[in-house]
Amino acid sequence: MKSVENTTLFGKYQLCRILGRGRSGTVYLAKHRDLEEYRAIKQVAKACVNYDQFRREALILKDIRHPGIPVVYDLEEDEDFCYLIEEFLEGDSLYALVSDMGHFSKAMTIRYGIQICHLVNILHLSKITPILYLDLQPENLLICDDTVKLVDFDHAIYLDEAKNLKKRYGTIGFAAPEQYTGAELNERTDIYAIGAVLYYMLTGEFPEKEPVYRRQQVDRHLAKVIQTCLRNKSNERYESAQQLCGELEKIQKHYEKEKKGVFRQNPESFLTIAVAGAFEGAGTTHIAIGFAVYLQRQGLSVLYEERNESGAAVQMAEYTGRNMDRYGIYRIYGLPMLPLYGAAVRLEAHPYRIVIRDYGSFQNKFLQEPADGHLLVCGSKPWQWKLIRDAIQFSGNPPGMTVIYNQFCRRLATKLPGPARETDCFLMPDYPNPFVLSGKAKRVYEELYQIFSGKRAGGTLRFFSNKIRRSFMKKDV
Amino acid sequence: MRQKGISECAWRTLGIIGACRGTGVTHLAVGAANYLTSVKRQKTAVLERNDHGDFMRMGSFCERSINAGVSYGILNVDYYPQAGAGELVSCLNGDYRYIILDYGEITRQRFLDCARCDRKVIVGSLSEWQAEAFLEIVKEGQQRNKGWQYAIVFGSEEARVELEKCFRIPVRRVPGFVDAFAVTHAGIRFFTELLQD
Repeated sequence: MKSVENTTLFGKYQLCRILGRGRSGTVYLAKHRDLEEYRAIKQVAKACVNYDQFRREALILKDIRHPGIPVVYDLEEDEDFCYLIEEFLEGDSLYALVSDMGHFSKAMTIRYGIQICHLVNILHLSKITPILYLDLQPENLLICDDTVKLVDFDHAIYLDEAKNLKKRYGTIGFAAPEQYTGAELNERTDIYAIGAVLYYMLTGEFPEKEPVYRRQQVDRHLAKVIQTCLRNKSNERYESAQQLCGELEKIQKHYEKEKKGVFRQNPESFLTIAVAGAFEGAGTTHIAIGFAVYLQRQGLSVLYEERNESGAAVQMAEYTGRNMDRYGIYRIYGLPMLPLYGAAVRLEAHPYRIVIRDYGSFQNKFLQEPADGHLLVCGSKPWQWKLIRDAIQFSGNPPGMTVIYNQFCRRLATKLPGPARETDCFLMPDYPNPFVLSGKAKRVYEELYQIFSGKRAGGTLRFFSNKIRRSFMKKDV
Repeated sequence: MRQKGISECAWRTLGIIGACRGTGVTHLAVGAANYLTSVKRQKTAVLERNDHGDFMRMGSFCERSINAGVSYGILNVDYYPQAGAGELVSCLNGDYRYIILDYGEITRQRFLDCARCDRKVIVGSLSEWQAEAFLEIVKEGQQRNKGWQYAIVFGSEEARVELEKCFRIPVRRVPGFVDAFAVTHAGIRFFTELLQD
């Protein structure tokens, strides 16, 4: 059997690899050899679908022009298969991301939910006649550079064809009740699916008859929105994707009001936070990743950038089987991570606004390169004190530097070598997985976040009683 | 530069040889070296094992101090112009993770030397005025060790596909990277496949 890489279709599409396999066929990544551009080619066996039905997907797509919906370039067929040649969208499916991360934060859920509403609204307000998507589910939603894209339109139909639909398809858990019963299909059928996707993003679980929020406290407004979407009777759901979007935007504004400082005043502003360790093995990468994960959960567009020679990002990518995107970024357990590349690499500039730079050791240009904030990761064990003192002394305590005492254990560290009084200090307990934040770790990151956002000055230490403050060793700095 | 344990390596030496002059052997060697250094982050040397003098000219153009057999560095890759057996042994005994050998156009002796490399790539062209030399080599390759890889820079896609079908071997197309010192996304994809362990 011919391998994928040795196959050229129609004399111009060099197949590269399989992107995915679904109910209806296989999707390949291919390169247009003359234009040197990538395409997604959907191949469906003629035994599974007739050409007119297949053609309908192309006809629907060709009428829509939106960055969130792939461009359709061509339609081809041979003896056994039909082919749809589309724009290649590089990204991870919502399903893959939620599987990696467990579930999204409320902020991320709302942010992506609003984008999904916009996409569905485009379809419902189609110039010719409204288009019903009818298969909105996490595998058909891609996240590309933090933007939602909708793919796979093989079950989409025009609204006026909905009455005559003989066979109905959908995905269990995301399909509205009327898709099972044969009742009328309309825009509110897609609204149900949006609600199911919101629930999935928020909990990591497929929706049951009654939404149950087991793992976390859910904002009651958001829960009410999801519940309204998931009403069995379609006339009790939101009337339109636009209306649903409006509700989500209200909740989002409420969250935004709670943010202060640089994160609120200008949500589009760029921010770089430099992280370095007092010594190798202090846990710098762990802290940097953890902080990036925390910020991502707050709905921020954040990138972990490796600025040391450890090769950790590539090793994690190899371990998890991830491929890089066109920015050279790997998405590992949902977190975008940019490895350190050498001077010869020429890739597109990434779009992320917030960058957590991991310098490894504090000697690696930690203070020389400009950043909006500096985190010095120190240990907290007595045998590490000399290294900590040296690092703090070497750093010179620049304004805005924050110190984290990592793997803090109260029994071992009754005293800690401290920086100057005005430097913010945090005690970070040990937690094994930087991609899954413990409650205590979250609290530290939240405090850090509030410092950088200007809401509160002072680290965790300053919340404790004076007893702890006095336990600091006399300053050598 | 991160150093992987040499004993863990699946391959270390890469020999690149051309079906004829002007097929892009040096371009590919330089591109591969930059990929290995800047993307894989491994210490890499490129040795000129032909008499073309390209490395001396390259060094001179980049304002490096150049002498035959003495290396100079560009973007963290070490280049050895007119490298002999001594330089090769020295590199093999040193701390380079990868050593690329640019054999230039094929001769019997260079071919035998190239065959000793862990990985071997023959670069050819399917342009009508260059194809014959490459086809001769591919035909001879039917009896040869199957460790050889084939790559073309020029020539039509139809000709490449036909060649693959006829001889049942993969013939990779080197993507158009105009600057051997700039590793693009397409270049990363190509070298990742070509040089995978």
